[in-house]
Amino acid sequence: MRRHLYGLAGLIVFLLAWELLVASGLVVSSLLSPPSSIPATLASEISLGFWQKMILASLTHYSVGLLLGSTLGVVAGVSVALFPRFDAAQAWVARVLRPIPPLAWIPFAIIWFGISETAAAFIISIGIFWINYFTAHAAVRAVNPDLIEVAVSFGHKSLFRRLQKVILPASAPGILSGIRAGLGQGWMTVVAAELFGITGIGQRMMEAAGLLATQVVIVYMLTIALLYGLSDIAFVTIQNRVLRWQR
Amino acid sequence: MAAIVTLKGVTVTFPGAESPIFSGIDFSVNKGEFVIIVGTSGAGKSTLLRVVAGLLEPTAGTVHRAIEESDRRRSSAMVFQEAHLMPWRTVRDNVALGLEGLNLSEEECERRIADALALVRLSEYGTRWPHELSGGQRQRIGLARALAVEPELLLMDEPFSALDAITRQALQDELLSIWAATGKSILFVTHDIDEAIYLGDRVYLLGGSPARIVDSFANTAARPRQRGTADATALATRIKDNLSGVHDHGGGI
Repeated sequence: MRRHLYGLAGLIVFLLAWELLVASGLVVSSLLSPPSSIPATLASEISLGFWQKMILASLTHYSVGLLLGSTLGVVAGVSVALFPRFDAAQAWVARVLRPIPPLAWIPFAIIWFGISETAAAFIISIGIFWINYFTAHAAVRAVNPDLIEVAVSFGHKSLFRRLQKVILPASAPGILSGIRAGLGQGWMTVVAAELFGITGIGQRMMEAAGLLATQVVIVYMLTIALLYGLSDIAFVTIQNRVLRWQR
Repeated sequence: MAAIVTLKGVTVTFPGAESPIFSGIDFSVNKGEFVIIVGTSGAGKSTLLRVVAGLLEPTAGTVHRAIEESDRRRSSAMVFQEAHLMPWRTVRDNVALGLEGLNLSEEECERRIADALALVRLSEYGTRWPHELSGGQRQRIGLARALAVEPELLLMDEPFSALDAITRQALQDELLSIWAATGKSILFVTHDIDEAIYLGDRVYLLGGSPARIVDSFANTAARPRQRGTADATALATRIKDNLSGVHDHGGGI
């Protein structure tokens, strides 16, 4: 409880310092709007329908990118960890592709998919894919081989049975933490993926920045923080339920 | 007496190894019998058990099982040195692990789980998680998991070696009660000479390099047995002498 009070106090001090910085004229209000301007701006964005429209658009390609990147990343990571030859064959390819930032794929996204939701989802999915790929790979490799032997000794010999009875449940904590990290990575990429003209929060922020409407930019920055916070809370709730067997 | 499993000339050589881990192993386990394999470290006791369980094919020799597996029964079930319970499964679901591949009705599964938990006296622990159990309780659940599949032969790989002395002795007595109640055949490997003498009807000594059966004897002491009797001490000396002898000639205790 005391920790929460400190947190609240810190937040109030931060907002006051920000407000004073602008009110004192140390920072020009056209370069940084004060926090007091945010509620009215948010109300205006909502009443004009922009806020809902941008959130829906961003959420759409974020969700598609998240689903695609997470699914492919987990499937690829688990598969590679299961088959040593596959693992060896992909090692150099992964080393070459992994360091390329998702945004470096923008030219290809435009060439392949045009300026479209698909292009944004593609870019979002790339960063999420690699996080899930590596965490799923590490989680499966870390499964205690003794548990697999127990399952085999009790008749679960096929690969499908071993996956079902041991490998996937045992690696679930690692896989889920990868998916959670991907949730955050996705929100970091979503704005950048929209900067080249795809409807969404990023595009609205760029429009507002061009008009020096920094209060609108801040509204959407806070919106991203809110959306990330809500999605993270929802995911952690599900994660805790799935992993309720952990101490 | 009918043999449940018979090994003839069984040899195992691991890939890349110059010599076998053990060779020419002959023994059998009869119906209802409690057979012990006591051996030196590295003699391949656990490997031998895996061969009997069908988890490892021998390099040479044959394993004949009188009870063939079907979709409704397994001929043997294993109890491991560490219980290795699945931490994401409750106690009840851990006990159910071996039943999930069998073509049994739900009622039959529930009956077997309840019976197995009752045998190890942990009926009220079904909804607990493995991390909520003590080491001894975890090992009893490992035993219940094996009992639930109602195998003809229980294979036990030093199941009590990781436990403290008091818990170990309590579980030895509990195992003897379960054995008497169920009539299962048991093949039990251990490096603990006193445990071998206290539990076994027949004892095989595995030693040397490559390991082989260096001695075997029937332990005819009446049950319930006392620990530390003159007869038990004499048998312990015989085991020590035999295993030390092969150790002196290239084995390893």
